[in-house]
Amino acid sequence: MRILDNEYAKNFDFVIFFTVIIISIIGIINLYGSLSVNHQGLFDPYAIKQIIWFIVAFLLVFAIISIDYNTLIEIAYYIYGFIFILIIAVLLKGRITHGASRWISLGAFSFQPSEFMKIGLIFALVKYLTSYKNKNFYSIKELIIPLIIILLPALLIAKEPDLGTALIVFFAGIIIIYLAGIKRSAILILTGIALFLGPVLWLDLKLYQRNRILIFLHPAKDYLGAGYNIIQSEIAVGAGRLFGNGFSNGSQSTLNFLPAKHTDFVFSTFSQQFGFFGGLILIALYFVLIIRGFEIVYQTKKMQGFLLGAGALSILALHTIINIYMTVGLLPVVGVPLPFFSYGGTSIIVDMSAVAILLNIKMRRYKFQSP
Amino acid sequence: MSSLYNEGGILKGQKNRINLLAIIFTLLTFILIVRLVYLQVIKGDYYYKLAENNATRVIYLTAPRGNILSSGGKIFVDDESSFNIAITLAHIKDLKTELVFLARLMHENYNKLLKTVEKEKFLPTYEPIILMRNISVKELSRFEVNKIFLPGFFIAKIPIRHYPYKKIGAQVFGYVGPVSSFQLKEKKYDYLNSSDIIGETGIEYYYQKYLRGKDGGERVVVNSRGEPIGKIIIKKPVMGANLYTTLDLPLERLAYKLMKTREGAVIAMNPNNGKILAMVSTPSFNPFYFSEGISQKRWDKIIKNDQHPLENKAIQNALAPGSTFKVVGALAALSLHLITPKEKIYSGSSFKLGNAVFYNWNPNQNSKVNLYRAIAESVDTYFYHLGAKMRIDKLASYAFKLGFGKKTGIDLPGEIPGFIPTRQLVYKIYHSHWYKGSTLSAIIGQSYDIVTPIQLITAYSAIANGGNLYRPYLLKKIVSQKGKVLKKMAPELVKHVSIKKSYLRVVKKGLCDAVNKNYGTAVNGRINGVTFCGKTGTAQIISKTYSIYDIKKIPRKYRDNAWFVGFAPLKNPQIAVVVLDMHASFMGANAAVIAKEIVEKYLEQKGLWKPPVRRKVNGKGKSGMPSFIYTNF
Repeated sequence: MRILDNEYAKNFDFVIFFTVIIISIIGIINLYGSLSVNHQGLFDPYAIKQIIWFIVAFLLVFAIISIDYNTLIEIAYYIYGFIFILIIAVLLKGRITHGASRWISLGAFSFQPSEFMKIGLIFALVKYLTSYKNKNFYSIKELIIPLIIILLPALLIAKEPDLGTALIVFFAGIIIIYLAGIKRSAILILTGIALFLGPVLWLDLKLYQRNRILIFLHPAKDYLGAGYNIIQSEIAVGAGRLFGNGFSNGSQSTLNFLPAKHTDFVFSTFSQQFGFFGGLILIALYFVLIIRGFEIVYQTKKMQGFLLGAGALSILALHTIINIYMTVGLLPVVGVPLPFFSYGGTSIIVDMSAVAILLNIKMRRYKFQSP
Repeated sequence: MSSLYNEGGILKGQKNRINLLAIIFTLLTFILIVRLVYLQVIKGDYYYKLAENNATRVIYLTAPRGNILSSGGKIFVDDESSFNIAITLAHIKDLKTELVFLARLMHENYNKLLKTVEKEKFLPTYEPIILMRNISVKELSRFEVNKIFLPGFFIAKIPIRHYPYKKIGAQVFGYVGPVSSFQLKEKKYDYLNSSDIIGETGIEYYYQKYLRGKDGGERVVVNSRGEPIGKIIIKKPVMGANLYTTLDLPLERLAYKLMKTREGAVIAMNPNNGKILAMVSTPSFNPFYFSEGISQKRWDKIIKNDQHPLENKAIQNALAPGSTFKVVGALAALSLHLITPKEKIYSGSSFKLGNAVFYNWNPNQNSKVNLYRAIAESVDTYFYHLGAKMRIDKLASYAFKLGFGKKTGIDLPGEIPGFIPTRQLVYKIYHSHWYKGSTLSAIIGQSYDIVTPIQLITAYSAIANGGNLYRPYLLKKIVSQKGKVLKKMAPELVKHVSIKKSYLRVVKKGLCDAVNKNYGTAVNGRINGVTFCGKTGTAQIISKTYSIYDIKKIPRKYRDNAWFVGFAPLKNPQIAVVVLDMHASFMGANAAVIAKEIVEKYLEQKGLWKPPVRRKVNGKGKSGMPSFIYTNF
């Protein structure tokens, strides 16, 4: 297989590519500004690490787009299975951080296999759904296996506990199934099951997860406790006003009012520094990225590409929407990263992979071969 | 079925569904922007204020001052943290009620607390005001228990000067205190904040630049009740540099122990380079009370003490040197060839010059003595003979050669130069003419001439070491907290005294006899196995209107001052000591004992001398001389 021959290169989507680069650069600047009190000299160790992760991630993008996505779909079950085993390994013997066992340590760095499950799942699901020939509407019976493919990892991840990732896995899977087509009867039955399972799942949630949701509804009740995060995040966003307090002047983050200021609450940090207009520009960039993604998916002529692209796109869109909604108090606090903005190697790799999938699909949109 | 397909594989319904998702996404983005408009534009000012009031404030972190150490690295002065009750007015709802509560709780005067608060009214309300300084652990626990009733109050930890040896060497190290508004206006203090502590006297003052730390800053986060709930250090305070003095800790302690109940000063010095080994001035004071602003009561007590505890008598107290000054006359007479060392002159109990009669201290004196014996026995009449042949300006020139009448330049503030009379100077200052008789008084150190202990020891050191006049100094080195040597002091030769070495040797022998010959005046200072040399001195405060044998009738402040200055051993001297025992009358001999103990301790430390083995059972085991007797010599 030739890497990037002319036909492919012509269809390389520069809009997405450069949007991602711009977001990444703003992200690093924001990271630097929000951690300004921790600086030792000119360089921030977090910013440096983040830059290294971006370099690794961009290399990965080129690796992924050089391989036909159909080839990747063919080995989907292996990817899925491998990540699944890792998740079980983490559950059995994982490093405990913040009371959660989500990480696998490999010497100097550690990663969260559950994050990779987002990618593994869409491949596996697309492979399964497209292995039926010309199937359009699925009955409830036919959906049992795809639901198992989705729910098994999602429940395990929720057990870690990593509610945010579990939700992304679940919703990305549901979106793919929805796009693939579900019979009306199946929709009714699934809704019924969801209504029934709701209270059961509620009881199964960890205390802090339940608290987060309760507090989301009444944040003022527990000012210094769990409601603190939501309130402080809203204060940070609001305090940015129109033009922001200026670079590295986000008191909410530099003063450690914000928890996870460089990961989950990175948008609050950004908003306090750069205000409404800064936030608007950032949201516009994400909007361009995702609408462009929709365009790619829409124009794809192949079912595999269509579903795979939609899956990748839903990861990016869900990340963006859930994360920002959470920071402005429109959703309860769940651990979801803002793509290319939050600090952390694993999330950068996952989001970049999603972008790479979209690029891959666009490049091969005219390539038509019977599966 | 295939009719449902559109554009090769993708169903039209699927395309609709993806469009629906895109619309949902656009809608969600729109909601988000609306939310941001609400948070940042409509309620922006409100949240901005909340973020401001998220009650963060900058508090200056007082940096600890550097330690003052002995030459061996033992701590003389360091820092400890003190607990202080502070108040942030911004978080007080009802100041009066809370202050009354605190006053009751701490058994403090309410008005006093209120005054403290009102004095700082001009400060921004979020800046903490220290209400009660350095509270005890008991008070601290009482405060902590009742904290919930005292929103707006908190405990501030501040470094405070700590003096492990309390009064020992207090005048040398000096005290620190809050900077005054007057000092703040001085240019050399332009780096100070109004809340800073500066060195006011002594080493603390002299090396203030090095000892002071660099203050840091801290942002403290407080909750709505005014309690700090978190903090970030913006700038870490940097502790001042450590200052190693030349002082020897055991010697310093011993000197203070010996002088504790007396008024006066003791200096021990290395005669070969001017290093001060010990310096005490008594009575002393505890400099700790100054660290945070001394109370009026304590201040009055110190100021009203007529023994002047704050004064460093070693350098700030010039007194008539008495007989210790005779060495100057001896050196002058030798250099002017008025006598030879072995030439015997008849010395009786009195000396007549014109109509005036000058008496010898010992009314039984009636023999011919040479210079050695005249020094050893401190024969006044012998020196009257010399004084009668000498012009006062000549005598003064030799005093100047030995460094009298001028500051020694020791690294302490407030040294005074003393006074050595010449015709011109006396006319200029006292507007009186010189009488010949005054020269006779001057040669026995009893006229206009006044010297400080540091001048005396510097001069005697020059005699001891063969004529090198060194600048006495207290600083060994200053080392920053990172271990960098910022300043190092080397011995400084002021000048080589232009007096023949052989004459210096003659005087040294006389000084040696004063201690080691039985007729000497300082026999009490004798040390077995070491040739301790020195000179006693008794300086009158007023002319002898009182009978000198009736000491108890003389008011204390009119009693004579006792001096002893000496060095040991004769050859290759290692230590020089001066003792000033004020208003002790005829106790120059006791001064010699004090000097002796210091010399013994030092030589023992250096391995140059061993104390004789004491046999308790057999009284004869001790040296023949009792160690502490009060003789009238």
